[in-house]
Amino acid sequence: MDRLSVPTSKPLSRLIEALHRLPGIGPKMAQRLAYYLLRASAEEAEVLAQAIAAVKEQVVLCSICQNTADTSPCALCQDPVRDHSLICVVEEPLDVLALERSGAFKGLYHVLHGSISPMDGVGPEDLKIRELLERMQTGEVKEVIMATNPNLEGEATAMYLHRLLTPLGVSVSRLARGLPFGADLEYADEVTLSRALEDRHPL
Amino acid sequence: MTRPRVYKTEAIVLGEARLGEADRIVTLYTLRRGKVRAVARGALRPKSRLGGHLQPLSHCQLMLAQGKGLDIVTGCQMLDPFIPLRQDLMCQARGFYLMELMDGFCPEGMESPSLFRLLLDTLGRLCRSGDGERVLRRFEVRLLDYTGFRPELHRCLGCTQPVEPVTNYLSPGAGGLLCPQCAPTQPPVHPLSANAVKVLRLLREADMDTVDRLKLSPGLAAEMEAALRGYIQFVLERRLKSSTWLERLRRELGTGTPGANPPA
Repeated sequence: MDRLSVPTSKPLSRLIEALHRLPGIGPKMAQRLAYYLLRASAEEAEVLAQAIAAVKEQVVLCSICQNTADTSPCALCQDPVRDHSLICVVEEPLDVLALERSGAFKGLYHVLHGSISPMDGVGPEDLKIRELLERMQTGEVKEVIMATNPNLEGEATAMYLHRLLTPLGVSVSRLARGLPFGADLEYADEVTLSRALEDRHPL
Repeated sequence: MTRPRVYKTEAIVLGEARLGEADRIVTLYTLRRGKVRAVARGALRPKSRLGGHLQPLSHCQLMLAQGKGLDIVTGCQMLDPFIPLRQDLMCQARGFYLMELMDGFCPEGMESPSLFRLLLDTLGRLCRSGDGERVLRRFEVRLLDYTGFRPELHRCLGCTQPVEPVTNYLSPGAGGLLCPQCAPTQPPVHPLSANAVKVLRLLREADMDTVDRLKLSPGLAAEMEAALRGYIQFVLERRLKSSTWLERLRRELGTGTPGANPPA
C-alpha cells in the first residue's frame, strides 16, 4: 500500500488507499478516480461523501425479508397488493432487483445473504435461514420458491431448505432451468439441455 | 522443451471464483498439466458458451491458451456432468470434500495421469455406489499414495518390526503405523484395529471390484475415517472445511431430522 502513497499530499494518498480497497479497483484506477475527485467541484465530492455516509447510517435490514431497505419492515413487505402467501428465496439483495425488473413476481422475498458453500466454510447458520423458518410460523405462507443460483452452492442451499420446509407443510418449488432467451442450442451444456427437456411446456 | 501456447486437455473442474463483471476463474485438474487455474471470459453471462460447460465437479474437454499469468479457456465441451452429484445433498457434500482434497494436495502444474483417472473413477463411483463413504476412503488412501504421503502399514516405524495383529496406532508425524510400545513416544496417534489395517491395505492394493464386495461394520468405517482424517489434516496442516458440512449432514440425515425426505 505504501507504493500508492507517492503523491505529495497526505489526504490524496489516503483517498487513493481507500478507493483501492474497493472490489475491482486496481492501483491505477484508484489513482485516476482520486485525481478525478480532486478536480471535480466541491459539490460533487460532497454529494458522494454524503451518499456513502448515508448508506451506512440509514440502510437497515428488513426484519421480515432481510432485504436492505430504509425502513423495517420494508415497503415490499408492507404492500397489501402483493401476495403474502408466496415467498421467493434469493441469495443476495441484487437478485431481488433482478426479479423486480422482470415484473413477473407479485409475492414477497426472503434474502439469505449468501449460499451454503462448504469449501469456504459457509454453513446454514451463517445464512438467514432461521428467519425464513420463523416466517412459516404464521401459517400464511403457502408456497416457497427457491430462486438460488443454478450452481453447486445454490443447489445445495435449495436442497437443504427443501428438507427443512417440507415438514412444515408448505409447498416448495424451484425456478425452472433451461435455455436462456437468444441462446444457441449447439453451445448448450448437457445439464441445461436435459433439464430444458424435462421441464418442457406444451405450445 | 517449450510447451505449445494453445493446448487441449481433459479436465475436472475443482472450483470457481468470480472475476470482475462477468468472468470466472476456474480451478481445473487437467490430465496433461495437473492443477491449472484459468480465466473463463464472460462465463457469468447467461448466454455464455463456456459457463454451462465449466461447472464444478464436471468432466470436460478443454482448449486453453497459455496467458502471461493465468491460462485462458478458449473452448470447452462437457463430457460428463455427474448429474447425481447435483441432485442429492449427501452425494454432493462428498463431491465438495473431494474437490477440497484435490485442491489441498495438488500443487499447480504437477501432472499425474493416474491421479486424474482416480478422481474421474471416484466421481463416477460416487454417482453409482450405495456406499459413498467407502469410495471416499479408497480415494483418500490412494491420494496419499499418489502424492507421496503413503503411510507405512506393514512395519512399526519406531522399532521397524512387522506389526502384530493387535490394535496399532497410525502416526501422521512418523508417516505410518506404530506398535503399542512405540506409540506413546510420537503423539498424536490414532488407534487402528487389526481389521482396519487390513482394510486400509486392501483399499490401497486391491481393484475396485474387490473393494465393492467389502462389508464394513459402522464401527470399523468410523475408525478408519477418524484415522485417515487425522492423517490428512496433519499433512495439510488444516482442517478440511467441507468435512464439517459432510458430518453435519450425516448427523441430521442419520437421526431423521430435520426431514429425511429425498431431495427436490
